[in-house]
Amino acid sequence: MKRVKVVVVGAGVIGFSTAVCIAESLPLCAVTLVADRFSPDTTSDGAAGIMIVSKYPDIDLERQKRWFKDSFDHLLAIAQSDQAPEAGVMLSSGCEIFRTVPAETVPFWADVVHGFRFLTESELKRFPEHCFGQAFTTIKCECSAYLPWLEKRFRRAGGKVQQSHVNHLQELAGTYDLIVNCSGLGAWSLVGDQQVHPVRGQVLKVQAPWIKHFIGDADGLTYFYPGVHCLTVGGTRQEGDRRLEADPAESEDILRRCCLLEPSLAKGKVLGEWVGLRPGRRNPRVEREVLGTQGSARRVHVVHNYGHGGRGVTLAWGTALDALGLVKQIINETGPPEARL
Amino acid sequence: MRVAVIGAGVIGLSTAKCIYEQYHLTQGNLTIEVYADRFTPLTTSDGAAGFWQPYLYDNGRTEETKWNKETFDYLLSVLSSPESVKMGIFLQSGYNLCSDYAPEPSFKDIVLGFRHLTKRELEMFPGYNHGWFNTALMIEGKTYLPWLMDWLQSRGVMFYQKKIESFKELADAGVDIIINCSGVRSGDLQPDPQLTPGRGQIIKVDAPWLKHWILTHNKRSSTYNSPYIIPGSRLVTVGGVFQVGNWSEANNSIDHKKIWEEACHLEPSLKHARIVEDWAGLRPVRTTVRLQREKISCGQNDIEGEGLHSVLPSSRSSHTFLEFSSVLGARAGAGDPCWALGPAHHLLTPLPLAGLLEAPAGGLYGQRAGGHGGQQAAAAVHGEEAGEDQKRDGGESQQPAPAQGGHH
Repeated sequence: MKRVKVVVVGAGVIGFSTAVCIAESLPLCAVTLVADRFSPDTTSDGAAGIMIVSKYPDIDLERQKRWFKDSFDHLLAIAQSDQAPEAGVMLSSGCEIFRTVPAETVPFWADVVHGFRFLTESELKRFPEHCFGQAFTTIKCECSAYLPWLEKRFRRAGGKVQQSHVNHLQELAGTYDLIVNCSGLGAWSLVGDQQVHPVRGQVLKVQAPWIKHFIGDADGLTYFYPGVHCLTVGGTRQEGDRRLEADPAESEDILRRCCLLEPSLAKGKVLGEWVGLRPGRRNPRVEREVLGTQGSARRVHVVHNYGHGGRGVTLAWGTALDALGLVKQIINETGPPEARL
Repeated sequence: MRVAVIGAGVIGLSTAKCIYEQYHLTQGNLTIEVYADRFTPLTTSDGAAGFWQPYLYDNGRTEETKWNKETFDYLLSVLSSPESVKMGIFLQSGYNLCSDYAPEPSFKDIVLGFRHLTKRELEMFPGYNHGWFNTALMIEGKTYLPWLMDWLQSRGVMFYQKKIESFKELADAGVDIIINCSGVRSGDLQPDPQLTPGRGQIIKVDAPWLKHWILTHNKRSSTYNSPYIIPGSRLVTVGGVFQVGNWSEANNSIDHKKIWEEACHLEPSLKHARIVEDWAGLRPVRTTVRLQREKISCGQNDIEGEGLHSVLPSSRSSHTFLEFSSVLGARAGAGDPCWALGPAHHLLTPLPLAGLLEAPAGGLYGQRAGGHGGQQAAAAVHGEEAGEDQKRDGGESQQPAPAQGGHH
């Protein structure tokens, strides 16, 4: 029986996670991953990769919770295995601090992370400008290691990888039976999604190996996340800003803000700066669609999985599983490839 | 006033620092000399992981817990100073795992953020069904000792690489006060049948993805004979064994195998980690901390001594030297007294000295008050149980075997 030819567009954490899910779960699919950029040149590569999430406005809460939990469980299993170092996955403890007490003091993901608790008054003394905090243990996943690790896994499951630029998804309709769109910010041009917009983030990579805990300001602007070899120190959130060059004034400001939270950070060694454009969207788009192809009656099934903003690593596996579910649906509905619409 | 400290581990150097801080302004012509055959990075303190944690239970010796708290709080205050990185002091969180239910440890109100482990956390550690999570302090000897030496040297403290063979040797050279912080080999200076090595062996591993310490406590194995994993600022310290009476400082391949296999079972991510080196050290084990004043005949002079323990410059150790000063003052008129001090046995405990002196206070200081101007009557002040208040490092903690009781 002919295999279902699936193409996954995008080689960031969403693309590879989705590709692995499909290739490992559906042996009847021949999966090819196509992208113009690969690690270490993807948006995912510079991300801190800490599993923390905030609520999306329009997605069913149970579904968001499932995304987070599936991702957490998946990464936790890796962290607890001998694959952890190669995959760049580690446990990380620390706290989120708030300048004003949030409406929801216990977020929906509190029982997914480990050991969730509030910061005590004496712990908060350290942060005179903050009045509330949450401490917990979560997971950090560094894509500069994780993406190559996923690629290995993908190839082992029979996946093929191809470097090329795709201008329109319809280009792929002739070659493939099913398209999975994990193009992140690229979806703006690839599928004409006006909702997708860049949210620029600048970070510093700092060597300070005595810092073992993360601290994040809930405003999302000031944070540092200790990683395997260095800390990711940030940051910025500039909507619509496409500058890819690092701004030295912003670096100074980032360090200044973070040193207020952790003075010993000033003794760290700045290894470099990095800028990434988060694929911002009001909600991630994880849904199926049928695309008409120009000048032909043929239509092609597409599963979209993009627009995760700054939560790509956090939600990659969970949304990949969702996308896999949609792929299965499509395959079941459309029957063998010869009978496709 | 010539003060000689024997020993340049964390005890000796911290003691020298305390003496300087307390007395350099008030004692005219104070000179401090440190004698040791081994200096950093070759001391016992250097091999240690540098993890602060007492034994689980003080078994009713609440004073020890109080002293530990004062020490922890003091270190915490140092943490926010610009020197903290150069001192090798930082915070780290982690897991104390028990194979069975155990009562909460005595240090639970001292450390930060103490809580019980949740069911899901315990699922990460098969074989352990109870335990706690908290944030504690690390003090890395390989960084802290050089910092202490710099601190002392820049204030005129002299260092001599020399194995002191006897207290007399220093007394004859004109030393006024001798403080013995020679750790496990104190017996070379003065026989002590209660002192014995508690050999530990550790493996230093390159595993920078580990950001939590993990200590296990098994009812079946004795303390520190069950696995522990303690990340440092550069390498991870993996242990442990605790072999009473074993003087070997050589690495043992059977110990290595046991340590490594148990650690990988506890933390599977270690399996492919790069092993950097093995190291063995001798914990200076004693049933009690010895703090003793002795009178030793030394030719024409009677030498009186007082043992003391100092580890990290605790907020209370300064109190000890105030006690000294009253003694010194009283003796000034009697010529050139030599003070030989009994051994300081407890390596790396956060136990403040003053607490020890206060314990059976009447004996020592009551007599002194009445006996100035002539010969001092020897009095003994025995300190508290060694081992409860451990600074946990690469196995450099004591095992007070009979008195430990409880969980261990």
